[in-house]
Amino acid sequence: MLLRMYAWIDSTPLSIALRHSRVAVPIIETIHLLAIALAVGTILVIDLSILGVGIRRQAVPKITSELAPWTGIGFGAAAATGLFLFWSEAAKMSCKPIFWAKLALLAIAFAFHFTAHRRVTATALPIAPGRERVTAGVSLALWFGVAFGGKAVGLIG
Amino acid sequence: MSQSLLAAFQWLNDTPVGAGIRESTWWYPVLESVHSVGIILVLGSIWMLDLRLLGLGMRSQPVSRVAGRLLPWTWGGFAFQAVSGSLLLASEAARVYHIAYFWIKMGLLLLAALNALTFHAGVYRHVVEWDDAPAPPFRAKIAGALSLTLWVGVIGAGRAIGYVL
Repeated sequence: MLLRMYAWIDSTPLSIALRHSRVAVPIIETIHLLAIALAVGTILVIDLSILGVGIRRQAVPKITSELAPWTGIGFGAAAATGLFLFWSEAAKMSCKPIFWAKLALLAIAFAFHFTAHRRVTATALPIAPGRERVTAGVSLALWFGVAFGGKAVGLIG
Repeated sequence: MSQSLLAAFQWLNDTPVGAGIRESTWWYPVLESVHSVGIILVLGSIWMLDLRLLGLGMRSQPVSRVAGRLLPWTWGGFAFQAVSGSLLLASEAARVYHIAYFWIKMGLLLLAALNALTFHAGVYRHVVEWDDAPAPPFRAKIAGALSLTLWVGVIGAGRAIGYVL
Protein backbone atom coordinates (compact mmCIF):
# COMPACT_ATOMS: atom_id res chain seq x y z
CA MET A 1 0.00 0.00 0.00
CA LEU A 2 2.65 2.50 1.11
CA LEU A 3 5.07 1.12 -1.44
CA ARG A 4 2.50 1.81 -4.16
CA MET A 5 2.21 5.38 -2.91
CA TYR A 6 6.01 5.88 -3.08
CA ALA A 7 6.03 4.40 -6.56
CA TRP A 8 3.24 6.77 -7.56
CA ILE A 9 5.20 9.77 -6.16
CA ASP A 10 8.22 8.71 -8.22
CA SER A 11 6.03 8.56 -11.34
CA THR A 12 4.67 12.11 -11.02
CA PRO A 13 5.97 14.64 -13.57
CA LEU A 14 7.48 16.72 -10.73
CA SER A 15 9.47 13.78 -9.41
CA ILE A 16 10.70 12.85 -12.89
CA ALA A 17 11.65 16.46 -13.63
CA LEU A 18 13.60 16.73 -10.35
CA ARG A 19 15.50 13.51 -11.09
CA HIS A 20 16.32 14.51 -14.65
CA SER A 21 17.56 17.98 -13.83
CA ARG A 22 21.26 18.23 -13.06
CA VAL A 23 20.89 21.37 -10.95
CA ALA A 24 17.49 21.09 -9.24
CA VAL A 25 18.38 18.67 -6.44
CA PRO A 26 21.77 20.31 -5.61
CA ILE A 27 20.09 23.75 -5.44
CA ILE A 28 17.19 22.47 -3.30
CA GLU A 29 19.71 20.70 -1.04
CA THR A 30 21.65 23.94 -0.58
CA ILE A 31 18.47 25.84 0.34
CA HIS A 32 17.60 22.98 2.73
CA LEU A 33 20.99 23.41 4.44
CA LEU A 34 20.66 27.23 4.60
CA ALA A 35 17.14 26.93 6.05
CA ILE A 36 18.36 24.51 8.74
CA ALA A 37 21.26 26.82 9.57
CA LEU A 38 18.77 29.70 10.00
CA ALA A 39 16.30 27.78 12.21
CA VAL A 40 18.92 25.98 14.29
CA GLY A 41 21.00 29.19 14.38
CA THR A 42 18.21 30.99 16.24
CA ILE A 43 17.77 28.05 18.65
CA LEU A 44 21.55 27.89 19.12
CA VAL A 45 21.72 31.53 20.25
CA ILE A 46 18.78 31.02 22.63
CA ASP A 47 20.21 27.80 24.12
CA LEU A 48 23.68 29.33 24.52
CA SER A 49 22.02 32.22 26.35
CA ILE A 50 20.24 29.81 28.71
CA LEU A 51 23.60 28.11 29.32
CA GLY A 52 25.07 31.51 30.25
CA VAL A 53 27.43 31.70 27.27
CA GLY A 54 25.31 33.63 24.77
CA ILE A 55 23.24 36.80 25.16
CA ARG A 56 21.99 37.47 28.72
CA ARG A 57 19.80 34.88 30.42
CA GLN A 58 17.20 37.53 31.31
CA ALA A 59 16.85 38.39 27.63
CA VAL A 60 15.85 34.84 26.63
CA PRO A 61 12.04 35.34 26.50
CA LYS A 62 12.54 38.59 24.58
CA ILE A 63 15.04 37.28 22.01
CA THR A 64 13.02 34.07 21.63
CA SER A 65 9.99 36.06 20.50
CA GLU A 66 12.13 38.45 18.43
CA LEU A 67 13.77 35.56 16.60
CA ALA A 68 10.59 33.44 16.35
CA PRO A 69 9.74 34.64 12.81
CA TRP A 70 13.19 33.51 11.63
CA THR A 71 12.91 30.18 13.43
CA GLY A 72 9.55 29.75 11.67
CA ILE A 73 10.83 30.80 8.23
CA GLY A 74 13.82 28.47 8.62
CA PHE A 75 11.70 25.48 9.62
CA GLY A 76 9.09 26.24 6.94
CA ALA A 77 11.72 26.44 4.20
CA ALA A 78 13.50 23.32 5.51
CA ALA A 79 10.21 21.38 5.51
CA ALA A 80 9.25 22.54 2.01
CA THR A 81 12.67 21.77 0.50
CA GLY A 82 12.79 18.49 2.43
CA LEU A 83 9.48 17.48 0.90
CA PHE A 84 10.82 18.23 -2.59
CA LEU A 85 13.94 16.17 -1.89
CA PHE A 86 11.80 13.26 -0.71
CA TRP A 87 9.53 13.69 -3.74
CA SER A 88 12.50 13.33 -6.08
CA GLU A 89 13.20 9.76 -4.90
CA ALA A 90 10.44 8.59 -2.57
CA ALA A 91 10.81 4.83 -3.05
CA LYS A 92 14.59 4.95 -2.53
CA MET A 93 14.27 7.15 0.58
CA SER A 94 11.58 5.02 2.14
CA CYS A 95 13.89 2.00 1.97
CA LYS A 96 16.54 3.73 4.09
CA PRO A 97 16.28 3.08 7.85
CA ILE A 98 18.47 6.17 8.44
CA PHE A 99 15.83 8.34 6.72
CA TRP A 100 13.10 7.14 9.13
CA ALA A 101 15.49 7.45 12.08
CA LYS A 102 16.12 11.08 11.14
CA LEU A 103 12.38 11.78 10.87
CA ALA A 104 11.78 10.13 14.25
CA LEU A 105 14.53 12.25 15.83
CA LEU A 106 13.02 15.33 14.15
CA ALA A 107 9.63 14.49 15.68
CA ILE A 108 11.22 14.11 19.12
CA ALA A 109 13.13 17.40 18.69
CA PHE A 110 9.91 19.22 17.75
CA ALA A 111 7.95 17.69 20.64
CA PHE A 112 10.73 18.75 23.02
CA HIS A 113 10.91 22.22 21.45
CA PHE A 114 7.22 22.96 22.00
CA THR A 115 7.03 21.52 25.53
CA ALA A 116 10.03 21.45 27.89
CA HIS A 117 12.05 23.96 25.84
CA ARG A 118 9.17 26.42 25.56
CA ARG A 119 8.65 26.40 29.34
CA VAL A 120 12.29 27.42 29.85
CA THR A 121 12.38 30.13 27.16
CA ALA A 122 9.21 31.67 28.62
CA THR A 123 10.87 32.47 31.96
CA ALA A 124 13.29 35.30 32.65
CA LEU A 125 15.39 34.12 35.58
CA PRO A 126 18.70 35.99 35.96
CA ILE A 127 20.68 32.75 36.21
CA ALA A 128 19.38 29.48 34.85
CA PRO A 129 19.09 26.65 37.39
CA GLY A 130 20.67 23.30 36.56
CA ARG A 131 17.55 21.71 35.09
CA GLU A 132 17.16 24.61 32.65
CA ARG A 133 20.73 24.12 31.52
CA VAL A 134 19.98 20.43 30.96
CA THR A 135 16.97 21.42 28.83
CA ALA A 136 19.14 23.75 26.72
CA GLY A 137 21.79 21.03 26.36
CA VAL A 138 19.22 18.41 25.32
CA SER A 139 17.74 20.88 22.81
CA LEU A 140 21.15 21.47 21.21
CA ALA A 141 21.93 17.74 21.17
CA LEU A 142 18.58 16.97 19.51
CA TRP A 143 18.90 19.61 16.77
CA PHE A 144 22.52 18.81 15.97
CA GLY A 145 21.51 15.14 16.02
CA VAL A 146 18.82 15.85 13.41
CA ALA A 147 21.38 17.75 11.30
CA PHE A 148 23.86 14.84 11.44
CA GLY A 149 21.02 12.43 10.69
CA GLY A 150 20.11 14.44 7.60
CA LYS A 151 23.68 14.38 6.39
CA ALA A 152 23.81 10.64 6.99
CA VAL A 153 20.69 10.13 4.81
CA GLY A 154 22.73 11.36 1.84
CA LEU A 155 25.78 9.26 2.71
CA ILE A 156 24.34 5.93 3.85
CA GLY A 157 22.34 3.38 1.86
CA MET B 1 52.56 32.01 -9.37
CA SER B 2 49.82 29.68 -10.50
CA GLN B 3 52.47 27.04 -11.13
CA SER B 4 53.79 27.20 -7.56
CA LEU B 5 50.21 27.21 -6.25
CA LEU B 6 49.50 24.05 -8.21
CA ALA B 7 52.71 22.57 -6.77
CA ALA B 8 51.55 23.47 -3.26
CA PHE B 9 48.20 21.76 -3.85
CA GLN B 10 49.96 18.70 -5.26
CA TRP B 11 52.23 18.63 -2.19
CA LEU B 12 49.20 18.90 0.13
CA ASN B 13 47.53 16.11 -1.83
CA ASP B 14 50.57 13.86 -1.30
CA THR B 15 51.09 14.50 2.41
CA PRO B 16 50.49 11.47 4.65
CA VAL B 17 47.41 13.22 6.08
CA GLY B 18 45.91 13.83 2.64
CA ALA B 19 46.69 10.31 1.45
CA GLY B 20 45.47 8.79 4.71
CA ILE B 21 42.05 10.46 4.49
CA ARG B 22 41.76 9.58 0.79
CA GLU B 23 42.55 5.94 1.38
CA SER B 24 40.38 5.47 4.46
CA THR B 25 36.76 4.49 3.88
CA TRP B 26 35.26 6.44 6.75
CA TRP B 27 37.49 9.51 7.36
CA TYR B 28 36.16 11.44 4.38
CA PRO B 29 32.42 10.97 5.10
CA VAL B 30 33.01 11.74 8.78
CA LEU B 31 34.93 14.94 7.98
CA GLU B 32 32.36 15.95 5.36
CA SER B 33 29.50 15.45 7.85
CA VAL B 34 31.29 17.40 10.56
CA HIS B 35 32.11 20.19 8.08
CA SER B 36 28.48 20.37 6.85
CA VAL B 37 26.95 20.44 10.33
CA GLY B 38 29.67 22.76 11.69
CA ILE B 39 28.47 25.49 9.35
CA ILE B 40 25.44 25.88 11.63
CA LEU B 41 27.78 27.25 14.31
CA VAL B 42 29.34 29.79 11.94
CA LEU B 43 26.12 30.84 10.20
CA GLY B 44 24.12 30.68 13.42
CA SER B 45 26.34 33.28 15.04
CA ILE B 46 27.12 35.44 11.98
CA TRP B 47 23.56 35.58 10.64
CA MET B 48 22.13 36.47 14.05
CA LEU B 49 24.42 39.51 14.21
CA ASP B 50 23.53 40.33 10.58
CA LEU B 51 19.83 40.26 11.46
CA ARG B 52 20.50 42.61 14.38
CA LEU B 53 22.45 44.98 12.11
CA LEU B 54 19.55 44.95 9.64
CA GLY B 55 17.14 45.74 12.48
CA LEU B 56 15.35 42.45 11.80
CA GLY B 57 16.18 40.44 14.91
CA MET B 58 16.98 40.87 18.64
CA ARG B 59 16.10 44.56 18.37
CA SER B 60 15.81 44.77 22.17
CA GLN B 61 19.51 43.93 22.62
CA PRO B 62 22.35 46.44 22.22
CA VAL B 63 24.35 45.74 19.04
CA SER B 64 27.64 45.63 20.97
CA ARG B 65 26.24 42.96 23.29
CA VAL B 66 25.06 40.77 20.41
CA ALA B 67 28.38 41.26 18.61
CA GLY B 68 30.51 40.74 21.71
CA ARG B 69 28.71 37.66 23.02
CA LEU B 70 28.50 35.92 19.65
CA LEU B 71 31.99 36.69 18.37
CA PRO B 72 33.75 33.91 20.35
CA TRP B 73 31.29 31.40 18.83
CA THR B 74 31.92 32.76 15.36
CA TRP B 75 35.68 32.37 15.84
CA GLY B 76 35.31 28.94 17.43
CA GLY B 77 33.02 27.76 14.64
CA PHE B 78 35.29 29.27 12.01
CA ALA B 79 38.39 27.57 13.43
CA PHE B 80 36.49 24.28 13.47
CA GLN B 81 35.44 24.74 9.84
CA ALA B 82 38.94 25.78 8.80
CA VAL B 83 40.46 22.62 10.30
CA SER B 84 37.83 20.21 8.92
CA GLY B 85 37.85 22.04 5.57
CA SER B 86 41.66 21.93 5.30
CA LEU B 87 41.64 18.18 5.97
CA LEU B 88 38.96 17.69 3.29
CA LEU B 89 41.01 19.82 0.92
CA ALA B 90 44.21 17.87 1.65
CA SER B 91 42.50 14.61 0.70
CA GLU B 92 41.55 15.88 -2.78
CA ALA B 93 43.80 18.91 -3.28
CA ALA B 94 45.09 17.92 -6.73
CA ARG B 95 41.51 17.66 -8.07
CA VAL B 96 40.10 20.59 -6.08
CA TYR B 97 42.70 22.90 -7.64
CA HIS B 98 40.90 22.57 -10.97
CA ILE B 99 37.40 23.16 -9.58
CA ALA B 100 36.21 26.73 -10.19
CA TYR B 101 33.67 26.54 -7.33
CA PHE B 102 36.53 26.11 -4.85
CA TRP B 103 38.14 29.38 -5.95
CA ILE B 104 34.74 31.10 -6.02
CA LYS B 105 34.19 29.93 -2.44
CA MET B 106 37.61 31.21 -1.34
CA GLY B 107 36.95 34.53 -3.10
CA LEU B 108 33.59 34.91 -1.36
CA LEU B 109 35.19 34.05 2.01
CA LEU B 110 37.78 36.76 1.38
CA LEU B 111 35.04 39.26 0.53
CA ALA B 112 33.14 38.28 3.70
CA ALA B 113 36.31 38.85 5.74
CA LEU B 114 36.92 42.24 4.06
CA ASN B 115 33.31 43.21 4.76
CA ALA B 116 33.66 42.29 8.45
CA LEU B 117 36.96 44.17 8.67
CA THR B 118 35.50 47.28 7.04
CA PHE B 119 32.55 47.13 9.41
CA HIS B 120 34.69 46.81 12.55
CA ALA B 121 37.16 49.51 11.48
CA GLY B 122 34.39 51.79 10.25
CA VAL B 123 30.85 52.31 11.47
CA TYR B 124 31.24 49.90 14.42
CA ARG B 125 33.86 52.17 16.03
CA HIS B 126 31.06 54.62 16.82
CA VAL B 127 28.67 51.90 17.99
CA VAL B 128 28.00 53.76 21.27
CA GLU B 129 26.05 56.31 19.26
CA TRP B 130 23.64 53.72 17.84
CA ASP B 131 24.06 50.73 20.16
CA ASP B 132 20.45 50.72 21.38
CA ALA B 133 18.82 51.85 18.14
CA PRO B 134 16.40 49.12 16.98
CA ALA B 135 17.40 49.93 13.40
CA PRO B 136 21.16 50.68 13.03
CA PRO B 137 22.53 53.29 10.57
CA PHE B 138 22.58 52.63 6.84
CA ARG B 139 26.26 51.62 6.67
CA ALA B 140 25.72 48.98 9.36
CA LYS B 141 22.68 47.65 7.50
CA ILE B 142 24.73 47.38 4.31
CA ALA B 143 27.42 45.43 6.20
CA GLY B 144 24.75 43.07 7.59
CA ALA B 145 23.10 42.55 4.19
CA LEU B 146 26.46 41.94 2.49
CA SER B 147 27.53 39.45 5.14
CA LEU B 148 24.24 37.58 4.90
CA THR B 149 24.39 37.23 1.11
CA LEU B 150 28.13 36.53 0.91
CA TRP B 151 27.68 33.60 3.29
CA VAL B 152 24.80 32.26 1.20
CA GLY B 153 27.27 32.30 -1.68
CA VAL B 154 29.97 30.59 0.38
CA ILE B 155 27.58 27.74 1.25
CA GLY B 156 26.28 27.45 -2.32
CA ALA B 157 29.79 27.30 -3.79
CA GLY B 158 30.89 24.89 -1.06
CA ARG B 159 28.01 22.52 -1.77
CA ALA B 160 28.81 22.71 -5.48
CA ILE B 161 32.42 21.55 -4.84
CA GLY B 162 31.02 18.35 -3.35
CA TYR B 163 28.91 17.73 -6.43
CA VAL B 164 31.68 18.35 -8.94
CA LEU B 165 34.28 16.36 -7.00
